[in-house]
Amino acid sequence: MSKKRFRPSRGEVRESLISYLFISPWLLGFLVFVAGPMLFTLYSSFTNYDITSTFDWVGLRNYTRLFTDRLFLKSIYNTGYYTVFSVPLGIAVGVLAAVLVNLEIPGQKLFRTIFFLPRILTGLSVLLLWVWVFNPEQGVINSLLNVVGIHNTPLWLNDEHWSKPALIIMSAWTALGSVVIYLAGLQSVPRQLYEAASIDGATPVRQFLSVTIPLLSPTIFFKVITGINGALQSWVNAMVMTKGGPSDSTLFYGLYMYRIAFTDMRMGYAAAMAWIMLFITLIITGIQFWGSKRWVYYEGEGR
Amino acid sequence: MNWRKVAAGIAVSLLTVSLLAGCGSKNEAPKATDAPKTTADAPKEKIELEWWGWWASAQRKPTIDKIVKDWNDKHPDVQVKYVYVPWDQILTKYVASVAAGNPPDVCSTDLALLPMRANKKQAMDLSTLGAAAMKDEFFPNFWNAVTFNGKPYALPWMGDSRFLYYNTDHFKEVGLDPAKGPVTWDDLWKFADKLDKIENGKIARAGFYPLAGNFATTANISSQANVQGWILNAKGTMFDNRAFPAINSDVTVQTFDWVKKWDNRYGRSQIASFMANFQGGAVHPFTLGKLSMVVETPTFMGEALKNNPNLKMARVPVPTPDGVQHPAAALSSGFGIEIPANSKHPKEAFEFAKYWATEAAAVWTVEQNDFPANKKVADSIKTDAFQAVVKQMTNTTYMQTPLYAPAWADAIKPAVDDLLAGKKDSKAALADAQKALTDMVRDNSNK
Repeated sequence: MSKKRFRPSRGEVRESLISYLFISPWLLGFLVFVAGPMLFTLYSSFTNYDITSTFDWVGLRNYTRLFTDRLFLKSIYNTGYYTVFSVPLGIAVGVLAAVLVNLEIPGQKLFRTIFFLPRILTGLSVLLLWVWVFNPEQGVINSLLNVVGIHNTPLWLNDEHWSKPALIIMSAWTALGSVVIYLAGLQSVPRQLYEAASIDGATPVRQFLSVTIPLLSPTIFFKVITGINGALQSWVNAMVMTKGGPSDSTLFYGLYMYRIAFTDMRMGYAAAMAWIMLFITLIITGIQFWGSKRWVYYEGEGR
Repeated sequence: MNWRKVAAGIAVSLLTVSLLAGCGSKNEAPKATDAPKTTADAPKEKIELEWWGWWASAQRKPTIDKIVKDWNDKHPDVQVKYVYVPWDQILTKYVASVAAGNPPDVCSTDLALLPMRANKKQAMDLSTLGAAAMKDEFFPNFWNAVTFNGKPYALPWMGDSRFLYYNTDHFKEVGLDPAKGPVTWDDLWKFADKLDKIENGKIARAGFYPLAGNFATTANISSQANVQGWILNAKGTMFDNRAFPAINSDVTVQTFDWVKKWDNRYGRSQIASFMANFQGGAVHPFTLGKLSMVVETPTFMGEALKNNPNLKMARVPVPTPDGVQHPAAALSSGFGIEIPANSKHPKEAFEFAKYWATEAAAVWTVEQNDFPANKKVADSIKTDAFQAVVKQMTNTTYMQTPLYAPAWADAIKPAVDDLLAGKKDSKAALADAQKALTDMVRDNSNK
């Protein structure tokens, strides 16, 4: 369809100018506090910037060094491992919890409040409490395992093979807080579809798989994108709970970047890491959007 | 009249005004130095010095308040304002503030990374303010700690040492003489044979564990970093005198073997679960009576007794492999006071820094049971307990952090983890640590 008019009219120009003026506070903030620093870090990723004494151009040296940096590659592995497991687990937990909370049972409002607690309980204290939950001798998890009869309980945060699973389990708890988002999606599923399905003889599980999930898929897609972004950048949990150990098994990408930037004072190198993370995230998001055409079903779309 | 246009115009002006109001208000706080300082007859305006420190606990803060009040009373024209910054953030915030151009006037710091701050021109060269004349007032170790390229970049304030503390009640209970602490590494093993209490395969009380307590330079607190103290205690080195990594020597391998022996004594998962129950402060294993012997700082005695008044403890110099004390049998951390390179009132800040390192240090030492870097202050306190620490200074070394490996602990920790997990033996673990440190030095020195 070709444009009817090539030049906008005076009224249209004035209207767009006024809209820009309205968003100018935000635009200015964005340019000064987000876009500007991003361009600055892009430039400094090609330098040996250390804030207070050096700022010389070094070309691609930071980037080439990164690919031979054993700890950098380890941090990518750790972060990838964490993301691959925590995102699906978080979504599964969230969806199941939302379906449960959506059931019309007495105490539904109470359960909704309880399930929302992980979202409001944040910060350092929660992380430190989780360290105690995973305590090998007295923690809740090992005590429960002992009760069930498993006595060879893992050392969790003190064992390099169990430290990441421990953090993944913790992320599943945090994911409960996203129940509210799924609830909103669930409530928009038309009831007639369930009725039609049960008339056709579908079991509740079948209804869940064929009605609930497809109609919930836009919400799930949203959570996949934000979940992956969040997991790729998650590092404060490792910093507080394990400091990257044991044996660098929880050295996440962000933690390694923080160490390079603030202990070693190698800002240029850290800037290169930041931009690589940006590209990785963009590529993964792009793949998700491309793949979404196959499994995300927007109601009302003609297929 | 087009009301919509009027309304739009008002809304836009309000938005722009609010945008402009957001900028520009912060940096207008008037500093008392607005008037030029060149005229000698100008009336003395009050200068307020901002001083950052990391003490806020009920244990430490009263002494700080007292020191600040004493200064403020004696110097009505140079007032000091103490600002608390948490210990684990203060150095990062300090360096960031220097870079941002609004640093405090004077800052208390841990001296471990002083060479970096001096090299990167973040700390001010105090010889320009006359600090070099103070050199002989301080213990040589601590003066070296503040020196970079022959110039002082901070004034030493407190140092410390390390002692081997032991629980005399436990000793009496198992038939050991409470007046005789362990002297050699073998003593530690033999005493622990009697002191250990293992119930149902779990550790109820451990006699000794070399990675417990504090035997590393404070900026790198972690149990694995404690190997630093033991390596130096065994007369090993981590860096040669050109500050290049030299960690995989025979002595270091033997030290790692020794640490692994202790880990095997209790069993890896048993000791890991045991140690996971404790941290520091009130939850220290020694304070809770779960560990009979531990290496800790001089101030530990006061803290432990405060947290557990029923504790009966004594201390001796840290045991060495052959029992002979030598200048590196213990190590010290160093704390000092620095003036940022872009401090706005360097002269007044230096006066306060001098006060802090001398008179205030005397007050702090007595009230907080600490150890001053200033010799005169140390000599002025005549109690036996204190003089014992002074004596210990001849057996105490200070390891300055190598300029190109500020994060050396990050290379040591995984090596210790691998050793304890059984993934690598001492030689392999140390070879990896050496490689990691060498890479670190290469990356940091590649300018």
